[in-house]
Amino acid sequence: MAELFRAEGLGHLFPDGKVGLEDLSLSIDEGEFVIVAGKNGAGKSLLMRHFIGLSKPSSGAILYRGAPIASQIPLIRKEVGYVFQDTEAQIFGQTVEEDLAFGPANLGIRGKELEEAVRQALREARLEGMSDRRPLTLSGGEKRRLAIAGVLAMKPRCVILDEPFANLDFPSAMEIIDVLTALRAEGKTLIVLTHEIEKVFSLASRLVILDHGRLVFDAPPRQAPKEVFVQTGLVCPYRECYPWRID
Amino acid sequence: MANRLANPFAFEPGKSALATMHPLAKLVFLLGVASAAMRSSLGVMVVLFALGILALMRLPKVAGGALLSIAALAAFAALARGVLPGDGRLFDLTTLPASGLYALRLFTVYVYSRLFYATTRVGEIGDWMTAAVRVVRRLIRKRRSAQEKEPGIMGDPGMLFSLVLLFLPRIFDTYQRIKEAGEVRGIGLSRRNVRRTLLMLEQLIIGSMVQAWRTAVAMEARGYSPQRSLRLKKFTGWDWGLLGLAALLFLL
Repeated sequence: MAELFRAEGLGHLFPDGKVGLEDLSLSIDEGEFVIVAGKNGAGKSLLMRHFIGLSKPSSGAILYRGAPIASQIPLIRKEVGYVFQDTEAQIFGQTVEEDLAFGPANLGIRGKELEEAVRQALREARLEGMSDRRPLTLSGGEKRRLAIAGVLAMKPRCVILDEPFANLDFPSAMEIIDVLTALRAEGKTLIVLTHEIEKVFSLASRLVILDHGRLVFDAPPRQAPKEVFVQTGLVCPYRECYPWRID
Repeated sequence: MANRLANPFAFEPGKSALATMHPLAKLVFLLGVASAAMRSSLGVMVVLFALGILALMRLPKVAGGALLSIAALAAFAALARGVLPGDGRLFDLTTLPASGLYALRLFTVYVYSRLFYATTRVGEIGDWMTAAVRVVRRLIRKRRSAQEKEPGIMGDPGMLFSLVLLFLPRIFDTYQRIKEAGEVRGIGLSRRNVRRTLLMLEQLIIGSMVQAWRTAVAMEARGYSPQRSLRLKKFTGWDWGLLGLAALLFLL
């Protein structure tokens, strides 16, 4: 599989001198399903901001498809979709349908092709029959799926989802998992930033764990030892150490 | 819901035929109606008002609270002329008929503004502004025959316009959230405590800025940049008809 993202010795220092990311090197290939895990403030979102060119590294470099990120921004906007954690901030349409058309229309897609992109996004995000609904009237889970659909309508090759399960009840979380399963089957590259790793553990092909801006684990999820979860403040998803297990 | 009541300009999707018409034609018509409403005789104005209300009633889910708040605002603006006439009285009753007429004129303008706003997309007018700027830029570039760098957000009035339109209703949401969070902790904006109120205002400003930044980043991630492709409607026969009607209203 072709390489999509590569971070080489990536470092990020905040203006107050605090370390955001430290000497981080990793690459993500096309078609992978990667969980980027870590407790709050570990650097997950910051790393992704670097991947899509919204932040500038203090040291090291980011490459997209083998070229420096600065030269690849238009390509990234076309190929990489980003679903932000704050759902409300990324809904721009007066109706569901209009919101879904927003992204592809900005890319110059028109007419039948635009209609088809919207229809397909509605289908992929399980929002059929809601095209005329006002986004304000949707439930939290539906809004989250609308945000995902808004990104899918742009037909990205890679989708990054920042805390897709935050504030969702169990059925809504399951619906998001269904959407992710279908996207994985389509062969899309998926990067899920979450600390609720148990929800996507069995779906993912790779688990990346960050702690205090450093990469502490990078391998298929099943290879992660129990200790790594304990040391990084994450919930251990294995049966024998799952903290909320009731016998 | 609270946001819709507090914000008279909250976006309302509507499937009215007006939504399919050209935004510039609607804008010129709005200006024509506003001009006629502020100058015309009582009879003409009442007809305009009634037609506007009828059209507004055909749109789904028009927030009644917003209409009431604007009615109150129009009444206040109208009644202000009779307050303290300078002869020792608190209010000059003889100004009431003229004030009533003035309030009705203001309210008529509001009704048509609401119609325009409810049937026009956030970025439609903005896209036309940007298209005009792009044409001018292309002409300048040809004349100078020199390479210019790509326009930033300051060279994209439509983007600024859309961002502001999108941002305003969100400030109302932020205000509502901060107000409620303050109320449950015993701090109301209505309480006469300047320091507490200032603290909440600070939260409102910071919260709005954070919200604006998040919105801008999310928009950019979905391809909304100064280099975006513009969607421009074409003028139809109905639009030319609306322009003719607007010309007639200007002449009234």
